[in-house]
Amino acid sequence: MRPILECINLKKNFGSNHAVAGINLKVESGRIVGLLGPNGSGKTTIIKLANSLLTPTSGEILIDGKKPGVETKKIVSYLPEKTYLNNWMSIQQIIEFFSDFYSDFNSEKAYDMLKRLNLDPKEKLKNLSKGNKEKVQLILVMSREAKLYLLDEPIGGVDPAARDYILETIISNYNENSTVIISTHLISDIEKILDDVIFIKDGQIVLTSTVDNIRDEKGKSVDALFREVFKC
Amino acid sequence: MLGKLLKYEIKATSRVFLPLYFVLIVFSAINCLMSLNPDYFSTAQFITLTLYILILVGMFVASFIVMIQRFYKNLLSEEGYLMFTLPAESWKHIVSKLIITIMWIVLSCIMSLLSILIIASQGIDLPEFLADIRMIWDTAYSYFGTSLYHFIIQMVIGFIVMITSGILLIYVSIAIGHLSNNHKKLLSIGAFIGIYIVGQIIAATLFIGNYGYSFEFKIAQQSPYPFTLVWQAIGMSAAFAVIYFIITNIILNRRLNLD
Repeated sequence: MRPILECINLKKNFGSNHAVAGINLKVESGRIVGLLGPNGSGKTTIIKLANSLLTPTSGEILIDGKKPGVETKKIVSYLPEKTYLNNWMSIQQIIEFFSDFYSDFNSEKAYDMLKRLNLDPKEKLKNLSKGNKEKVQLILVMSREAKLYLLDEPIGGVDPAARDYILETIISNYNENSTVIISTHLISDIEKILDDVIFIKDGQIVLTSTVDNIRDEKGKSVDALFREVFKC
Repeated sequence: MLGKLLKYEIKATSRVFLPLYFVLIVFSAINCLMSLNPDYFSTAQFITLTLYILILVGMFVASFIVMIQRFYKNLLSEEGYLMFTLPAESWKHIVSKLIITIMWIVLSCIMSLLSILIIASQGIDLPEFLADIRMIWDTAYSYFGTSLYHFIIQMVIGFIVMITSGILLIYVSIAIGHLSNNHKKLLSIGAFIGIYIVGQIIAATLFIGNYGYSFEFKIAQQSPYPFTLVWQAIGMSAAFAVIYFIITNIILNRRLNLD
């Protein structure tokens, strides 16, 4: 089967800083993958390269066999670590915007999640707190029926109760046709939902493994192994 | 996809322009009513007239600011994360913003004319006004003959091409500024000045090269009006616009590096 995400000798430099230093990677469909690494390890850079928000210095990144472009954007649902919401729409209007542009967007699902998280669809985006903005963005992203979800720090800014609901949403969305890649350093919170992990440090992959393997062979939790690998 | 982008571009910008147009028309109506007594110029009249002029100027300043802000903020700052992950080619983003900016500039010009007519309407006798317009037309016609239509078409096309070229010059400057890691604004301003100067030099060289020392003679030959010369100027402006567009698109396509 064709990998949903593939990096071939992928490099990205910012000036003299090698943010991504020659990565080779294949992610298969139907998995929930944790992209784990300390701050500044290159997680966000890889995800932005996959969305063509950055241009690789050299090498290639392929989504479902294609270079990032209009076709891949139709099947990728991306949650950036930034707030991209404008200051003039209401929640309702941005939902309309998404269903206008993405044919795989499910408005019903979005309204359902808004209700569960106690968000008023008529509220203006600019009046939302930072945490609620993050929730709205996550709802928008998870209401698509995409092939690949790229979630950059999805639970960083929200309270633990919402965190549980969000993780639940991610799992319930998951099916054998879709893949979820979650970048985070909050490992203990998401460990229970992951199938695979990719450890990344200084723009290079230091370990790829299934979570079961880590537990069975090394007898450790992912969190414990992470602390060991990235010991300061 | 272009249609949808245009729709949201109008939504995003009309909340600035529609209230401005409304206030402009209201103030021109107030000015019209206040000028009932032409012998007496009151303080209130002075204030409303000043406010009207401020709104008029503000409308064109707003067009300029909105043009820059929609391109920079919506595409190259955080909102770009949303816009560039939509399944739309980058040229459609440029075209949608360009078309809507042209639309607002043209509408603003129409609204200014309309507001001036409203203010002046008090002292105008309609049949007399129409007769005056008729007279202007006749005078122009006697000068140009049938080429008056040619003149009008050229003016309209020239106006649109100049606006388009000006907007794209600003877009390409912002896009070039985006290539810098740390000095985006500075590089944008530098690019604008640089491109403008180079454009002027190219224009001057081409036209003098083409017409040479007999410039005035050649113009005099193109009687009653130098249509060919003006068409050449419009053509060159259009060529610059195309170049600006292509460079902007290449940068957004292949050199996009959102912070």
